[in-house]
Amino acid sequence: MKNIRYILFIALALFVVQTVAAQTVLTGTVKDKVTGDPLVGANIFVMNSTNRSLAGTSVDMNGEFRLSVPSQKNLTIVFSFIGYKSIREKYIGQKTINILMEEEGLTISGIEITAKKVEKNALGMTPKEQISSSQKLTLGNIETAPVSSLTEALQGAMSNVDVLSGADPGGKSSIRIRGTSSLNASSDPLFVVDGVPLPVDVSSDFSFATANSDDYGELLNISPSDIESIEVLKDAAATAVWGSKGANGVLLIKTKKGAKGKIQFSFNTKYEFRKEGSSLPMLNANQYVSMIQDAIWNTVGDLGEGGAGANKYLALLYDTKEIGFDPSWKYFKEYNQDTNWLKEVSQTGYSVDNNFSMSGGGDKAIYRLSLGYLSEEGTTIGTGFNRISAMFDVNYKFSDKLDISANFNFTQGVKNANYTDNARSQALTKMPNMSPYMIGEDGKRTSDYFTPYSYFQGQYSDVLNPVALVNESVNKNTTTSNRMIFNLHYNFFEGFDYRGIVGFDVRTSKSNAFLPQSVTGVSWVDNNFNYSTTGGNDKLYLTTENRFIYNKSFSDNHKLLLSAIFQTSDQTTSSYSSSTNGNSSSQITDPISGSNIRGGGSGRVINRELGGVLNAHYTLFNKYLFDAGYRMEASSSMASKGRWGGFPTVGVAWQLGDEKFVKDLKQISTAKVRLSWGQSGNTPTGASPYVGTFKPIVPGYGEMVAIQPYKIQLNNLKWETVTQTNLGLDLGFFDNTLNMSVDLYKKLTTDMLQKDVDIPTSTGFSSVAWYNSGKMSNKGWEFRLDYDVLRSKDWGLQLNFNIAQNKNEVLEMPENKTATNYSLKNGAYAYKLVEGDPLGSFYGYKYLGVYQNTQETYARDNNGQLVNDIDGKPVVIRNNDLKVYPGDAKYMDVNGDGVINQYDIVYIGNCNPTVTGGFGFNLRYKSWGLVANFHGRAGQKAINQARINMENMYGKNNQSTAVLKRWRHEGDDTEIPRALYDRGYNYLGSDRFVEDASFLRLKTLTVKYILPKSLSGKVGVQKAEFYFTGYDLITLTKYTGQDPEISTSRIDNMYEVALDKASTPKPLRFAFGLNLKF
Amino acid sequence: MKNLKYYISVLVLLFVFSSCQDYLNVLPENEQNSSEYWNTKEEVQAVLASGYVCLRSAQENIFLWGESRGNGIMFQGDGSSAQKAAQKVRSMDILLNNDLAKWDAIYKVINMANSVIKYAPAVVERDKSFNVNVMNSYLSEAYFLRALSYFYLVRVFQNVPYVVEPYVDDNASYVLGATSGNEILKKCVEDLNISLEAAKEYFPESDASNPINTKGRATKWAIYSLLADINLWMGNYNDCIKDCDAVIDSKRVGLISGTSWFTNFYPGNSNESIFEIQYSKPLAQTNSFISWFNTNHYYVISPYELSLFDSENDLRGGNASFMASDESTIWKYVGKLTDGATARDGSTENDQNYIIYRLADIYLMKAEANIMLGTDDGYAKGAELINAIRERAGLTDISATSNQQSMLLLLLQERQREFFAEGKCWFDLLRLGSRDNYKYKDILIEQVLSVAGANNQAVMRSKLADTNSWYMPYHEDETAVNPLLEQNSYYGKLGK
Repeated sequence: MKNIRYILFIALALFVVQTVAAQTVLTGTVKDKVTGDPLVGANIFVMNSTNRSLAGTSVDMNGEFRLSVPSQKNLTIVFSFIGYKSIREKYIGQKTINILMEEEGLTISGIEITAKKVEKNALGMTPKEQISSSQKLTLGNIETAPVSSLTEALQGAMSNVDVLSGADPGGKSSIRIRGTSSLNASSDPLFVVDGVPLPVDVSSDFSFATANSDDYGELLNISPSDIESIEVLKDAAATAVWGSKGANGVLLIKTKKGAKGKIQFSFNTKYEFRKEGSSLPMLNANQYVSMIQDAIWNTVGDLGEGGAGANKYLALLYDTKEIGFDPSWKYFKEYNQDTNWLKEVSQTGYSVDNNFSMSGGGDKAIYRLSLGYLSEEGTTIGTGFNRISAMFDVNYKFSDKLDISANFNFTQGVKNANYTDNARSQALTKMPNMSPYMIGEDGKRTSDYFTPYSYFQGQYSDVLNPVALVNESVNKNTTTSNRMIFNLHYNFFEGFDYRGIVGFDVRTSKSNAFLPQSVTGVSWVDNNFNYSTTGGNDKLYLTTENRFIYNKSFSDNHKLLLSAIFQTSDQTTSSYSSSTNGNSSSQITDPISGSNIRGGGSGRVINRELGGVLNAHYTLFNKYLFDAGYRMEASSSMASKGRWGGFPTVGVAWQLGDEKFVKDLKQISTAKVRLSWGQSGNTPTGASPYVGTFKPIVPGYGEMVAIQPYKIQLNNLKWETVTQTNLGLDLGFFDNTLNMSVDLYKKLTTDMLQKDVDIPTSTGFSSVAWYNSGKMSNKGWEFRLDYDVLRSKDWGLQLNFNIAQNKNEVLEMPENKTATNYSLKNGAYAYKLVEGDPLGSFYGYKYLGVYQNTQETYARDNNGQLVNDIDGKPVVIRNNDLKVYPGDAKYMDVNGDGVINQYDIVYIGNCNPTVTGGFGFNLRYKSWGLVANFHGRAGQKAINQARINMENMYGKNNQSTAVLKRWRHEGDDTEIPRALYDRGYNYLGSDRFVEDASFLRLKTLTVKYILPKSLSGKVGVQKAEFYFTGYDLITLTKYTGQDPEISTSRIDNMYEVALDKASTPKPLRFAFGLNLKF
Repeated sequence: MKNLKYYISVLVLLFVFSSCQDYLNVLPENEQNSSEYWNTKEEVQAVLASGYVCLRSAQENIFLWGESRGNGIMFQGDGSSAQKAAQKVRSMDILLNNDLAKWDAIYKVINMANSVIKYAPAVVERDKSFNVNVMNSYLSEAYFLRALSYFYLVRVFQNVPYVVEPYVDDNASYVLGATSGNEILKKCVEDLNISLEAAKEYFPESDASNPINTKGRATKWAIYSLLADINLWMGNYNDCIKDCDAVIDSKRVGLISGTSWFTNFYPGNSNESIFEIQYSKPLAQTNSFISWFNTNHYYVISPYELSLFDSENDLRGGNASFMASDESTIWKYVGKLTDGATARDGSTENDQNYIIYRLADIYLMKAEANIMLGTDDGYAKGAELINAIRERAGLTDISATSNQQSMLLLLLQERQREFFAEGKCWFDLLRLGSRDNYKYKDILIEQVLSVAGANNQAVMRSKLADTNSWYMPYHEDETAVNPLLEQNSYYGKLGK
C-alpha cells in the first residue's frame, strides 16, 4: 500500500516537473476598446485544437495577466468577459499580447437573427430526413395557453392524441395515441424526459394503503413552465428506440436549458380561481319524503296490502321516524331541515403558481436554474395540493470532443384529500331533510356533527356524514421526488459520436389518513372507530443508455447514419403500511400504544429491462431515404424462454418536393411521402408475474405440514406484438407558410395478453395470471394543418387544425374468454366482444316509455293479438320474473315472448368516437394577443351512470328533480316510470340512459398584452406580458350529463366503456398571469 | 489512449451482456418460487400432505355426491350453496350452473398427487437422506389419492379429463377432452396394484390411542380397499374378493364387537377403520358437522331409511345412527355415547372424522362380489358375510336364496343401514343400477323415488329413464373455458 502511494507520488512529481519544464510564460493587458479602462476579472484561456482548455487565468486590478502556456502545437488564446465579445488569438510563441475588447451589444445592435437552428433528433436526424410520423408541440404553444399540467397542454393540440380529463376534482386524465391497442397491458403512452423514461406505474399486483397516491398523476411533477417542447411519436419506426414501453406511443418531453450569453431572469406568476357551475338539481326535503313514501306505497301495492311480503314495507313506511312526523321524537329537529348537502362540502377553489428561473452561460458552461411554487385549493373542502420544485441544469463543454451535462430536479408535492373520495356522491344522495349538525334548543345548528350510527339510509360504510368527512378527516400524501440525469457526449472522430445517459429517479411518498368517529358514527368497539392508516413507498428508478452514432456524408449524394443503442432500466419499489383503530384523538394518526393494530404490510418489487437497437439510415441524392432497424429487448417480467423479443422496423421516404416536376409548381415548397412498417411488443405487468410459487396451507393435514403449488409457472408467455404500418404525406405551400400532413395507419395487435384468465379447473387451478390470445386492429387516418396566415409588424395570425379518426376492431376473440358479460339486474348493461366489432360496444334494452294502463300491459304476439292463458285471461307482460303494472318501464319485447329478459337485448351503442380533433388560432395586433384552442370529439355514445343513479327511485338515495316528472296517473305524459321502492325492473340497462356525447369545446381563450419595450425598459425589464385565460368557457353538446368529456373505464378488466359517473360539472376556471423577463 | 477507451467500452458492453440473464432473473422475495422447490424430502411430504388437505376440502362435495340422490337422508332448510345445489339434484332439477357440477376441489387433489408422482423421484438424488423406499411409499399414497379422486369423478360425471401431469408450469395444454370412465379406472387399478408393494402397513404414531396417521393416510390396506371398490364397480368380482381378503387377513384391522360399534364415530380411528379424512381440534382442523347434522338440521334421516331400522335390536338404530328422541339429528356425527343425550361440544369437539373405508365395507363388498358370481356357493358366502355384519349389529341371520336380485336387495338394505349418511348411498344404487347393462335399472329408480314427493314422481321417473341423467353435467363455467369438453347428451339439449 505504502509502495503504491510512493510510486504514485514519484509519477506525479515527474509529470509536474515535465510540464513545468515545457511551459513558457505569456503576459499582457486586457482593456476596454472605447474607454481604455482595464477589464478586471476578464478570463484568459489556452485552448488546444479541440477547444479543450489547458490552462487559464484572469485579469488583475491593473488590467494585466500572466499565463503559463504548455508547449503544444495549434494553441489558441481566448479572451472572454461577460458582456464583451470574445477574442481568439492564435498562439505562435508570443511573449506578450495586449487586447482591447468591445462590448457585445454595440456590435450586434440592429441585426436580427432570423435563421433558425436546424433541429435534430436524438440520432442526429433533421426533420427532413425523418421517415416516421411524429408531431412537435413547442414552448410557445404551451406558454400561450397557461396550463397547470402536461395533459392539459396536449388536449386537442395534436392529431389522434385523445386526452380526456375528468370533471370531478382530482380525477386522472386518460391519454390514448391512435386508439386502444391492448386488452390488458397498459394502453397509456410512455413519457420520456430529457432522454430518460419517466417511471411507469407500479405493477398491478401492488396495492397497499397508498393506492391513491397517484391521483394527481406522476406527470404533474414537472412544472409546465420548465418544458421546452413535447414531441409525440406515433408509429413503430419512431417508437422503436423506446421499445415495449413505447408501444402505445411516446411523448418526448424536453426541458428548458440555459443559453450562452448574459444572465437572464424570468418570473411567471399565475392566479387562478375555480367556481363550480350549477350542479344537478336535487329534490328538497319535502319532495324527497313524498317521493320515498310514494315509492314504498307502490311496492306495498304490488305485493298486495295485507300480505306477508308487504308488511315489511308497510312497517318501513309507518314506523320510520326519519320520514314520518313525530314532534315528540328526540331527533325530530335533526330530520326536519332542508339541507343542500353539496353546498355544505363545496368551496371556491383557487391556485397560485409562481415560477422563477435564471439562466446564462459562457463559452464553457451554460446553466439554468428554476424554482417553482404551486398552491392549489380544490372545490371540495379539504382537498388541495402544494408543490415546490427546483431544477438545475448545467452543461459543461470540456472541448469540442467532450461535453457533459447534469440535470437535477427536486419536487415535493403535498396532497390533501378527504379520507374517502366520495364526499360529493354522498352529499348528492343524502336525504335532504337531515341535518349535518345537531340542532340546539334554539333551533339553530350546534357545532356537533349529527352522525347517527344507523338510520333510514343505512350505516357506515354505505353512508357517512360528508360534511364531517370534508372538515374532519385527514388524507395527506407527501411525495418527494429527486431526479438526476447525467449526460456525456464524446466525439471519437468526425462523424462518430458516443452519448451516455444515466438517470436516477428517487421517489418517496408517505401517506397518512385518519377517519374520525364523527364521520362514521360507529361505536368505540368497532374497528372503524377513529381509524387511521399510515404507509409509504420508496421507488428507485435507474436507467442507462449507451449510444453510438456514425453519421457520414460520402459525397453530396450519399449520406449514411448508423446507430447502436444499448439501454437498461431497473425499478425497485419498497412499500409499507400499517393501520390502527381506537386512536384516542384526531391528532393522532400514527399507530401508537393504546390503539389497536388492525393490519400492516410491506413489500418489495423489482422490474428490470434491457434493450438494444441497431439502426441504419441512408439518404440518396438528398431525396430518397431508406431506414432499417432491429430492436432486441428483454424484460424481467418474462420467463427466460421467451424473455428476448426482436422487433424489426423498415421505412422509406421520398422528398418529392426536390424533384424538378414539383419544383416547377411554384406554390408547393415541400412535399414528402413516407412509408414505414415496424413492430413493437408489450410484456405483462407486475414483478416477475411468470414465476410459479408454492404456498403453505394452514392448517396442514393431521401432523403433516402442507405446502401446495399456488401459482403456475408461466414459461410459455410471449410478447404481445403490435405491428404498425404508416403511410404519410407532408406538404408545404407558399414558402412553407401553409403546412399540412396526412397519415394513414394500421396497427395490428397479436398474441394479446390477457390478465387473470380463467382456465379449466381440471388443471387443479382456476386461473392463470397471464395468457396470450386474440387479435385486434386499429386503423385510421389523421390530418393536420398549420397556416401562418399573416406576419407583419403590427399583425400576426396563425391557424392550426387537426382531425383524426381511429377504428378499432376485434379480429380474433381471445380463447378462454366468455363472449358476453351480463347478469340481469337494474342498471346493468351487457358487454360483448364480437369478432368484427370494436371494443367498447354495449348492449341493452330498447326503452319505450311507460305503461299507461292495464290494457297496455297485456302481452301481444307478433301479429298484435292479445295472448291468453289456459283460463282465457290475457297474459301480462313480465319484466324478468315480475308482472308489470301501469307506470312501469316499457321495454321492447324483441322476441315477442311476453317476458323482458336477456333475450331482448340489442346493440345500443359504442363508446369509440368517430372523429377527434381540435383547432385554434393565435392572433396578434401590436402588443395585444388573442389565443384560442378548441377540442372536440364526435360520434361516441356514453352511458350516463349519473342519471341512472339519480333517476331510479329504487332505493333511499336522494334523486334529481327530474323525478318530479315521474308517472303517477294514467295520462301522465312522461318518460320516467313510477317510483318503486326495492322492487321491479324500472331501470334496466337500456337506451334510456345512453346518450350521444359528441362535443366541441373552447378549451382555452387567452387575451394577452405585452408592455411596450419603451415602458418596460425603463424599469430594466426586457419583456413583461400580462394575460387572462378562461377555461372550458363554451361547450357545444347535446349531452345532458355534467360533462361530455368522459374517460373510458374497464369493466371486468376487459370491456372498455364510457361510463359517466360525474356528478359535478367542470368548474369554471379563470386565470390571471404575469410573465416577466429581465 | 484512444484505443484504451475503445477497449473499455467494449469490455463494459460485454460484461453487461454476459450477465444479463442473471440481471433479468428477478424472483419475488416474499414467495417460495417453484424453481427452488423440490429439493428435500420434507418438501415432497408437504405437497403430499396438501393432497390430503385438498381431499378434506372436497369433503362436502364427496358427501353430497354420495347422498344427494340416494334415499338415506332428506334435506331441510337453506344450507350452504352446495347443500342448496344438492336439493336441486335430489329433485332432478339440475342446471348447468349447479354447484355440485363443480369439480375443482377434487382436481386439486389430483394436481397435488400428480406433482408428487412427477417430482419426487428426482428429489432422491438431491436429498441424501431421502431413501428410495420412503419415496416409493410417498408415491403409493399419491397414487391412492389420485385413484380415489378419479373414482369419485367417474362415478359422478362418467367421463372426465384424465390429467396425469401436474400443472406446476404451463407446458401442458390447459384444455383437455374427456376420457372414458372405464379407461380411467383401468389405469387406476394398474397404478394401485403397482403401488401396493411400497405402501406402508402402518405409520408411526405420536399417540398410540389415536392412530391419526395410520388411519388418516393411505396404508396398504387403504389401497386394497380402493382396489376392491373399483374392481367391484368394474365387475372384476374375483379381483375384488382377492383384494377384500387381503384386508380381512391383514391382522391390522378387525370388526368391532356390536356394543362398541359407535366407537367408529366417537372417538373414531377405531380398530375397524381403514381410511378416514382426519379432523383434529388440537391441530385446528375442524368441520361444520354439528351445524349440518344437529344445530341447523340441513340433513335429516329419510322416512325410508328410518323404516329400515325397524328392529328394536339393531344397535345401529336410535341413538346410534340417529337420535331416538329427535330423528332430525344424525347422532353418528353428533353423539359421544349411545344414550341419545351425551353430545359433542360444538366448539371443542367439532373434529369428527369422515370415514371413507372401514372393515364392514370390505365385508359387504366381498359379499356383493360373491353374490355377483351368480353361484349358489357365492350366494352362501355372501349371506355369511352379510350375517357377520348383522350379527354384530344385533340382528338375526338371513338365509341365502338362489335369487341374485333378492340377494342384492338384502345386501343393499344392509349397506343402507350400516353406512347411513356416510356418502355411499347413491354410489351403491348407481353400481347396482348400471350393472350388467342396466339389468337392475328399475331397482335404482324405485329406490330413488322412495324419497321423492308425490307430485314429482312421474316427472322424475321419466327423467331417470334416461341413464345419462344419472351423471352430473359439466359445469357451464368449465365448458366455457374448455372447448374440448362435450356435454353429457342428457344436458346437451338443455342448451346454454
